Amino acid sequence: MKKNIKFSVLIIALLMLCLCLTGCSELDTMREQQAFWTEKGSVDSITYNEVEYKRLPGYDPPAPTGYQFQPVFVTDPDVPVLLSNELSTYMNLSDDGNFLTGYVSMTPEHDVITVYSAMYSALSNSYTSYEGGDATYCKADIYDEVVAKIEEGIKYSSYGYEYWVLDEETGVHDYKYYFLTDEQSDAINKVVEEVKPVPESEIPYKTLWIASLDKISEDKYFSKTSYEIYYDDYLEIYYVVYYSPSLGTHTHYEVPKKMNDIFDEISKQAVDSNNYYLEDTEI
Amino acid sequence: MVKKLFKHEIYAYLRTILPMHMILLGIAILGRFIQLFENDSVSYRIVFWSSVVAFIIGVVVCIVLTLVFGIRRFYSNLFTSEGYLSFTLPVTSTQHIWVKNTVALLAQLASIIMILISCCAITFGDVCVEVFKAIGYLFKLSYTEIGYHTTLFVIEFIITLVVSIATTYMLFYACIALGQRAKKNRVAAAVGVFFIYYLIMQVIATIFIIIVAVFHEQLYIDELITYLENHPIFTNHLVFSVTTIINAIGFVIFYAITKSSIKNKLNLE
Repeated sequence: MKKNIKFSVLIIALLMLCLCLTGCSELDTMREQQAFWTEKGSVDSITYNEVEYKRLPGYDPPAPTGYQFQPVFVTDPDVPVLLSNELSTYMNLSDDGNFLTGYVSMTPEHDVITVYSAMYSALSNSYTSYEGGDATYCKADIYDEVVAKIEEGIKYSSYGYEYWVLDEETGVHDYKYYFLTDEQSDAINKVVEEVKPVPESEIPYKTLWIASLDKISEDKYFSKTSYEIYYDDYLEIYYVVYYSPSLGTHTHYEVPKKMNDIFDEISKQAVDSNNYYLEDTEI
Repeated sequence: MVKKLFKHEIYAYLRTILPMHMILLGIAILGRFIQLFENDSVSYRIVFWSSVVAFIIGVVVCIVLTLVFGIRRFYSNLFTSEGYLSFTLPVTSTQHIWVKNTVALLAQLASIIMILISCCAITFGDVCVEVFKAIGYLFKLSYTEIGYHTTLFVIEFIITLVVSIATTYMLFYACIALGQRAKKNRVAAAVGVFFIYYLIMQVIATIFIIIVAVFHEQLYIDELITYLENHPIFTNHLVFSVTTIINAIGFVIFYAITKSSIKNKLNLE
C-alpha cells in the first residue's frame, strides 16, 4: 500500500513537472513585443532583442518607410511581461527593423521626456499632465549615418506603396511593401511635372483607388506620403492625384494613355492581391 | 460543548464542500493538461475555451453552493425536526447562531482560497510565475507611490470581505427566522421576507438619492465630491470604512432579529 502511494505521488509530481515545461503562446508573443529603456529614467535609448536603438534628435523626425509596423511595448527593465502592454510606451518597429517610432511624453518644462502610463497615474497620488511628441529611434550601428543624412536634408528620390495580401488558406492578412523601379518612379515624376492638371469637374464620377504612393529616400529608410493612383476602368485612364491637407483640395494629373503599360506594372501588386479592397471611390 | 458543536459543524461542511473543491481542482488540472497540446487549430481552440468556460462555471458553482449549503444547514439544523435535538443541547441560541455563522464564514473563505489554488493550477508553470511577478510588481509600485497605505488597503479589504460575508449569511438567517413564524410554506415565507427587505432597501436608496439631488447645494455635495476627488487615498479608506460600518450595522440588526425569533418565537416543524 505504501509503495502504491509513493508510486502515485511520483507520477503526479512528474506530471506537474511536465506541465511546468509547457509555455504559453500568448506569453511568448508578449515577450517578443517587449522592449526596455536601456537606462531607467532616460528615454534616449531602447534595447529591443538585445539591439540598441538611439533616439534621433528633434521632436518632428522623418517617418520610417512602411505604414503597418510591428507593435513594440517599451517598459522599464523591471516591469514583468504581463504588465508590458499597460506600463509601457507603445512603439512601432519598421518593416526593415531599423527604426522604432512612437509617441513619447515629456514634462511641461520640455526638459525631460518621461514614460507615460495610464496605470501608473491611477496608482499615484496625483495626476501629472503630460505633453508629448513623436520620436524615432534608430539602430545604433546606423545612427551616425542617419543623423548625418537628416542634417544634410533627406533626398526623396523614388516611390513605393504598401499593399495587403490575404492568405486564402489561413485567412490571415499581411502587409507587404512594393518599391517602384527607377523607370516607374521617373514615370510618376514625368506625369506630375509635364501633364497639366485636369479640373475636378472633368473627372469621372467614380474611379478605382489603386494605391497611396510614398516618396522614398535614396537609402529606403524614410518615406512620406505623396500621391495616390486612381483608375477609371471604363475609359482606361490612370490618374495621379495629389491631396493638399492645408487647402483640402485634390489635384488630378491624367496619365497619357501611352504610359498605361508602365502604370499597369506599377499597379499590378495592389490589383492582383487585393481586388476586393479596391472600392469605387468618388474623388 | 461549543467546541463539539464547532467540530460537528465543520465535519458537516467538509462532507459536502470538500468533494466540490476536489472537482473544481480536477477541472483546473484538466484545463492545464489541455494546454499541453496548444496549437493554432480550430479544434484546440474549441476544447481550450470549453475548458475555460467549465472552470468559470465551476468557480461560480463553488461559491453559490457553499452559500446555499450554509443557509440550508442553518434552516435544517434549527427549524426542522432536527431542531428538537439541537435545542436540547446545553448550548444557548446565541451560541448556535454564532457557531453557524462562524463556520459558514470559514467555509466561504475556504472556497475562495480553493478557487485561488485552482486558478494557480489552471495557469501552472510559466503563466502562474508571471502572474505572481506582476502582482509583486504592482505591490512594489503601490508601496513606492503611497507607502504604508497599501498595507492598510489590504487589511481593510480583508476586513470588509469578512464582515460582508458574515452579514450576508446573517441576513439569510434573519429571513429564515422570520419566515419560520408562518404556519405553512415557511421557505416561501422566508423568500418573501427577503424580497420585502430588498424592496425596503431600494426605497431607502431612492429616498437618499432624491434628498442628495434636491438638497445638494445645502448639503455641500459638490464641495464634498471635489474634496474626495482631490484626496483619492482618503476616499478609498473612507469607502472601505463606510462599507464595513454599514455591513456591521446590518449584521447587528439581522442578528438581533434572528436571536429574538429563535428565543421567543421558535416554531419547529
